[in-house]
Amino acid sequence: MILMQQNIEYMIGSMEETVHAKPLPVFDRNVIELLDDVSKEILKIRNVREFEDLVSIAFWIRKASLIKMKQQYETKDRLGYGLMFHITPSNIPVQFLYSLVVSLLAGNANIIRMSQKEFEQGRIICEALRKSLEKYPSMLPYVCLLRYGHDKEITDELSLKCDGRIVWGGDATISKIRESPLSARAFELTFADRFSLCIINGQKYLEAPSDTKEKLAHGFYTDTFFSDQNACNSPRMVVWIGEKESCRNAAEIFWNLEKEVVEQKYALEQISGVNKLLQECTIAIEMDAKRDRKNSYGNYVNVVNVGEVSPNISDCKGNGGLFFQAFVENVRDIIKCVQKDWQTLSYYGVCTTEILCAIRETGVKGIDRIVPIGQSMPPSLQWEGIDFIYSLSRHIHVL
Amino acid sequence: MNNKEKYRKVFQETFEISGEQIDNAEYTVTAGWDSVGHMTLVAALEDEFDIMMDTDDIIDFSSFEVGKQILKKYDVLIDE
Repeated sequence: MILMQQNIEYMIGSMEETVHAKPLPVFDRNVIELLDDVSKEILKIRNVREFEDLVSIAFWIRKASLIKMKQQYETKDRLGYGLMFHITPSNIPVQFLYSLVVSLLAGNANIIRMSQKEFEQGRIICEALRKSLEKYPSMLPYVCLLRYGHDKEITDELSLKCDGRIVWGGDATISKIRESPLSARAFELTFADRFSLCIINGQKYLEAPSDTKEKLAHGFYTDTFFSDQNACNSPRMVVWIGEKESCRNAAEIFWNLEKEVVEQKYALEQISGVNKLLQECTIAIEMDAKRDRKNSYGNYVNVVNVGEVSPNISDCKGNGGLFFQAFVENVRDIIKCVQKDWQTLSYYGVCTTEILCAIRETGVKGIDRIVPIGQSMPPSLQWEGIDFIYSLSRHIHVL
Repeated sequence: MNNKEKYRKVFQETFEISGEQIDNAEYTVTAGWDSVGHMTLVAALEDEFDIMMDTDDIIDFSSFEVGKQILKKYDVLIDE
């Protein structure tokens, strides 16, 4: 243990204190007070407005919101399991706070391994947590944020000590973490790689008024560039439905509008441009795709047409403005390709009933969310079919 | 500080506006009053007046004037 400690960077708290913290009732009063204070600390900051994800989660953890959530749960005789060990991803800056919040509300103490990647949002959150924990010292043992490199021994130790392990993707991380066994009574929740896409009815898009087209361009930006397409629910592919000529015209308008929005808002890092080209070439070779020069919209938006929507399309994963595109005649042509790892389908001009019917008829196992383009996703205690309060707490059955 | 002053202060601090800009403040019209600004405003009002607003009221809170009517539901009277 002493050797390992030297390799650990603590942002908040300590392992020793946290492993001994007692389980709390779900929606414990002190947890609510603490989170409300964290909310206030975050929202106090002058430039916090720049980080919509941060404002959104801070708004979600304010007292009014937490009390309302509590009212929706059966909380009697329900306690946390004890200690949760979280492995949080490098792609979503506020994910570690989300994971901490759901687990605290479920009554658990938490050791959270943060990614090595630094984010301004991460810094702001840690600072807010520190300030709030000073005011609520009884909550100190329940929050331990740490970082360490590739040190399997540490992961082994924490995995054996915890009552539950929560791993936020991708598939490779999950495999690696699973090399560290859990104790017999501990459980694990994992959130693996997902694939998301966007489907648009070409004709309906063409008929839409120009302010609708503008709104869609901004909405699509929020869904994609804002998180650099790293969010599992960011569309990596756009599929046009309908008559081919209309769809091609619609696509041209759509990508040009998108290019304008992106030029206003997005800072393309040098490296992203190079990676994009590499990704394109690799995928193009694999997918027999055509990199149509006409579909290059500056260096920010690059669109690669793929011949058909095949089941292994989820191998196409681009970032920083690389999108794949396909043209199909009807909704079913896409739905029949859905795989288990497909998560979000964002849409415009398509009837959701038709999508749902196609999903039921084809019996495909993927797609958890069907949402309009640009639908902002407020945080929730439920995700991918899991309710965190019920999953991370235990109910004591009393006769 | 009375309620009217507190109410104006929240708008002033949230959107960095003053005087008539406050009286005319409106969602998507006033600079900074977008969805992010809206969340900041609601959180600040709840804190200032120690209230917890319903989702419907949060959605309906579209301007400085409309807000006064909504706050009445929470026994917060913004005197004129």
